[in-house]
Amino acid sequence: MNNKEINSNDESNLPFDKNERLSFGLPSPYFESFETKLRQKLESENELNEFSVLSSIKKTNTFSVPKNYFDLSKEQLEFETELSEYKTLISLKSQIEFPNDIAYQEALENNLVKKIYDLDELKEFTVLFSLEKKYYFSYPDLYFEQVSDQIKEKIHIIKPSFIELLIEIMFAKKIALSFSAIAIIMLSWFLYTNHKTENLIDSNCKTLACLEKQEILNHTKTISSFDDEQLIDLVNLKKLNNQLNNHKNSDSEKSKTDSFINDSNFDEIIDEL
Amino acid sequence: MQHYSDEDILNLYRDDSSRNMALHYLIQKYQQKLYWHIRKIVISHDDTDDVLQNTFIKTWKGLAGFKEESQLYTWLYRIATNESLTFLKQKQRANTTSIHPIEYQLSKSLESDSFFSGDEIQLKLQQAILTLPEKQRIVFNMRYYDETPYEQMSAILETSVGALKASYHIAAKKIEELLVKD
Repeated sequence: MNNKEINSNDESNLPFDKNERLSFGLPSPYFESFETKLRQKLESENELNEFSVLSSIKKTNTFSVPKNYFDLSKEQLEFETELSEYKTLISLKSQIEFPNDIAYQEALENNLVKKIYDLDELKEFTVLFSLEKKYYFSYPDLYFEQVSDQIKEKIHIIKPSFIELLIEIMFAKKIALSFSAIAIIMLSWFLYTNHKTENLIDSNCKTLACLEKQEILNHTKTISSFDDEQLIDLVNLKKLNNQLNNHKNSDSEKSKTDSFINDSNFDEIIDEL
Repeated sequence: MQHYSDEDILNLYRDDSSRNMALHYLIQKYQQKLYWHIRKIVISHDDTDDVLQNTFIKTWKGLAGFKEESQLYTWLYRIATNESLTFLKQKQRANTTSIHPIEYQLSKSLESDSFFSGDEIQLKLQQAILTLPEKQRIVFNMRYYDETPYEQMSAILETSVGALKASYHIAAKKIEELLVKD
């Protein structure tokens, strides 16, 4: 349309009358109901004029609806409304959790792939492949109902006693190692001291001459039971001489000792010791 | 019956007040799975019953020291497998009257086992499986009947996936040959 042709004062030429040329459309009873709607709106606004605060508040809808509520299909709406009077059923329905569809589909795909792979493995074994994969073993009735009680009974019976706990603590690894070390040390000391005291006669020397004075005194009871011949057998004069010499530093004493030994009898030697 | 995850069961176990509940849920969750796993190894229901109870008792005793380096079910299956194999060895040692290996005895007992309902071919299949070495038998049963993934089997049996695949293939071949022969 050429703008030069439009004259706004010329009512007959106004484009509104020439709507057959326009591509815009209108609802058919628009103009017929327009005046009514306008009057209603003016009335409602005038009602609130005396309430200044109320009229100042912006009119907005503060209520919300569940997501996709208005997207519910006709069938779903019917289903929801059918149950609306059965409150117990609705409450029960909400407790059931259905698996997520996407997760189920993924799991299904994985399971199918796995099954196909498992079957492919056996394809070359025709007899095995042809057999039904069923396990033909069975068990007595009510077995699984009873076995759990039997197991629990056994587990409660097997509670360790105080003594077992004590033994467990005593023989715990670190304690056991420490205990072993102490035992070894004690045993060694015991054997060492017993070995020294029990041997009256030095195995190399084999005579009383090699014994220290204190050792002889410690065993006087044993020696006192010996007769003279036994005592003489126990003394090695040569060794006795050496022992005495080792205890004395001076030559004079050594010679004194030598002469004493050579001149003295056995009883005098024993008395001297 | 509410199913608890392994983590929930361990958490219940760690709390003294709920420890008994942990035992209950542990048994309820695993008794059937472990039963069938053991049964495939020891064959007899009565022997399976013994081994199953021992498995749970051993699990319960060791649960305090369970370090969660593996999954709980992996650990359970491992205990069940070891208990089953130990049981068979003890049974072999205890049975001094027979010169045959234990698998032969199990195979013979199948024929008169009231808790075996298979037909002739199924009996032959079970007897063929019993001719396999222990580990191979376990691998075959876990893969053929339970369709256990190799990765899961590897964690339970502490064997590589490659070795398990080879083992399964050899086992299937041996069984096939025996079935065809008969």
